[in-house]
Amino acid sequence: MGVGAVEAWDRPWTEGTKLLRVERSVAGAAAARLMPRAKACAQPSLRASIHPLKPKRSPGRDHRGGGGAGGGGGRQCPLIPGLPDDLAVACLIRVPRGDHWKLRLVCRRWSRLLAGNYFYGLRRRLGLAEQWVYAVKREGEGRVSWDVLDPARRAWRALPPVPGEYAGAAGFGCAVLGGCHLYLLGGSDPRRGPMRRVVFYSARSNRWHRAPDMLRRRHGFGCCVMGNRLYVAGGEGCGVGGGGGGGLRSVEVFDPAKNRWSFVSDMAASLMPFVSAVHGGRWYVKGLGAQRQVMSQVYSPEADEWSAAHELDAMVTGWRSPSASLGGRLYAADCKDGCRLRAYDEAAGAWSGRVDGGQHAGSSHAVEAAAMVALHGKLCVVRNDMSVSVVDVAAASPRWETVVGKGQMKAFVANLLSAIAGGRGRAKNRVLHCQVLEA
Amino acid sequence: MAAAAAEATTDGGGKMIILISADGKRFEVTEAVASQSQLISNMIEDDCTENGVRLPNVDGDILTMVVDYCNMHAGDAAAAGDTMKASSTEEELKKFDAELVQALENPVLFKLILAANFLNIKSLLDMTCQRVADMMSGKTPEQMRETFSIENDFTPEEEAAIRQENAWAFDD
Repeated sequence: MGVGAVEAWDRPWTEGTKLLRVERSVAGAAAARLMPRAKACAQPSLRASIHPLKPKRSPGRDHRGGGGAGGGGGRQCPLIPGLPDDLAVACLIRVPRGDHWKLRLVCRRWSRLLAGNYFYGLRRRLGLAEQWVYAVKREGEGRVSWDVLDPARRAWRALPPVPGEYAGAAGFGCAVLGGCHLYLLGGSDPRRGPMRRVVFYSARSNRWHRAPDMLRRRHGFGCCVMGNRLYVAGGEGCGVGGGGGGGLRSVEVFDPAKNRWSFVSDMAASLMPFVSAVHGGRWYVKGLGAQRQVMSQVYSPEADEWSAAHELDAMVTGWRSPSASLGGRLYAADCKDGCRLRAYDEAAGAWSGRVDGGQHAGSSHAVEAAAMVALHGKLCVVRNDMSVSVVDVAAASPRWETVVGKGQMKAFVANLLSAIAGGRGRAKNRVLHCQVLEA
Repeated sequence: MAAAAAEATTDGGGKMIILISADGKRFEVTEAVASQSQLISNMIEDDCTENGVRLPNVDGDILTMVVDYCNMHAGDAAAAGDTMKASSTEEELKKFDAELVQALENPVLFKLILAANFLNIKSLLDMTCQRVADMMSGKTPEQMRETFSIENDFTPEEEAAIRQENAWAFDD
C-alpha cells in the first residue's frame, strides 16, 4: 500500500446505498403530490400534507437516519423542536453552503442529515445548490494543493491536502461527475511513474474516496465528461526504461453507475493532448503526436468514433488553452491574461466575437489565465495568481467583474512569508485544473 | 367575535369567502386573496366553501398574519384588472414580508410555518423557512443550539472528530 494514502476512504458505498433508500421515499412523496386531488370536498383537517417537501409523515417520530451510531436509544429528538422534521429540513436546506460545516456540529441528527444525498439532492432540485470554484495548483516547491472559492465570499480558502499519491504528481487529469464529485486520475508519481489511480472528492460529504483504477497507466492525457461518463484519451503510459515514450492511442470511459472502466475506440494515432473541450456533444482534442507535431481529433460518443477534425480546421488552429464551452459556444482566451476572449462562430467557420474586458492584467506568468469554467451561466477566468474574473458572455454588452483580485488569498500571503523565511525566490504558483462543484 | 374586514366587499373580485380559525375567529376575504392558499383554491374549485372554511389547526392570531400576507400579495396572484389597492410595488412587498417575520418569536414563527404548510401557500412557506435559515447562518453551532433549543448529543470525541474533518473551514 502506498505511503500516506488517505485513510478517510471509509465505507463510501454502504453510505451510498443507505442514502438511496431515503431518496426513494422522497420521490414517493413527490409522486403523491402530482396525483389529482382525491376527494373533492374533504375537510381540511383530514387532508394529508401536500407540501412537496414532505417525505411521508409518520405519526410517531421519524424513522430516517435512526440506524448506525444511535447510542441515545429508541426515541429520536426532532431536528428542530417545535417543527415536524419535513419542515425543519425545508428550513435547513436554505442555509447557505458556507455555513454547512457549522450545521454538522450542532447535533448528531443534523450531522447525519448533512452527510447524506437526501439533503443535497433536495437543494439541487429546488434550485438552492450553490456553485463553488475549486482550483488544483502546483506551488513553487512542486507540492500540489487546492483551494476553494465561494463566489459569495470572494476569497479563496485552502482545502485539506489532496490524497498522498497526488501530493507530488504531474500530468494528472481532473474532472467532475454528478456535479459534486471531483475526480483526480492518472498522472505520474515522482517515484513510481505513471499511475492508474483514481480518487474523488465529494463536495457533499467533504471527503475523499477511492474509485476503481483506470485500465492503463497514463499521464499527460486528456479527459472530459459527456453524459455523466468520464472519458480519458491518449497521454503516455509507462515508457520502458524511462526513455522510450509510451504514447497511447487508447481511450477509456468510466461509468459511475456501473462503477467500471472500459475501453472505447482507439484514436487514429497516439496523442498527448494539451487542450480539449466538449462542444456540441463531441469531444475535441488538440495535442502533440508521436513526432511532436500538432494534431487534433474529434470523438463522437454515440458513434464511438474518432475522426480527424478537418472540417473544423479554422476552429482547431485558432483554439488556445484555456477554453470552455458555454451556452453552446466555444470560448478561448484571446490574450495571455484572459481579459479578452474569442468565441468560435460556427456559421462563419472562424473565431470572432471578441469579448474585451478593457483592463488588462499583463502578460507575466502570474497573471496568465490558467483555466476557464462556467459558473452560474457566466464565464469565469482563473489566473495563476488566483485572481478571478467573471463575465456574462450572453449579455448584449458583457461586463467584466473581478471576483477575487490579486494577492487576496491567504495562502498567497503564506507563500510570500515562507519565501522570505526560506530565503528562496518567490514561489511560482501554477493553476493546473479548475472545476465547479455544486452542493 | 367578528373580527372580519367586512368593508372590503366593494371589490370587483366577486365572491367573498369566510375563513374560521381554531378559536372561532372569522375572516372575510375575496376569492382572489384566499386562492393563494392552494388548499382553499382547490375547495373553491370544488364549490365547498359555502358555509365558511373551518381551519381547526390554525389559531386566530396566526390566521390574522396569514390573511394580512395574502391581502398584501393578492396583486401578484390575481389576474384581476381593476383591483386598485393590490398594486403594491415589489419593494413594498419585500418590506412588508421582512417586517412580518422579523420580530417573531420562534414558537410563533413555527406556527406560521405550519399554517403556511397546511394551507399550502408556497411563497409564505418559502419566506418563513428562509427566515429560520437566516437565523442560523452566521451563528456558531453553540448559538444555533441555544436559539433552537437543541441538545448537543455528541460525545466530546465525536465532536472533535467532526471539527477535525472540517478544520479547514474554521479560519473565518
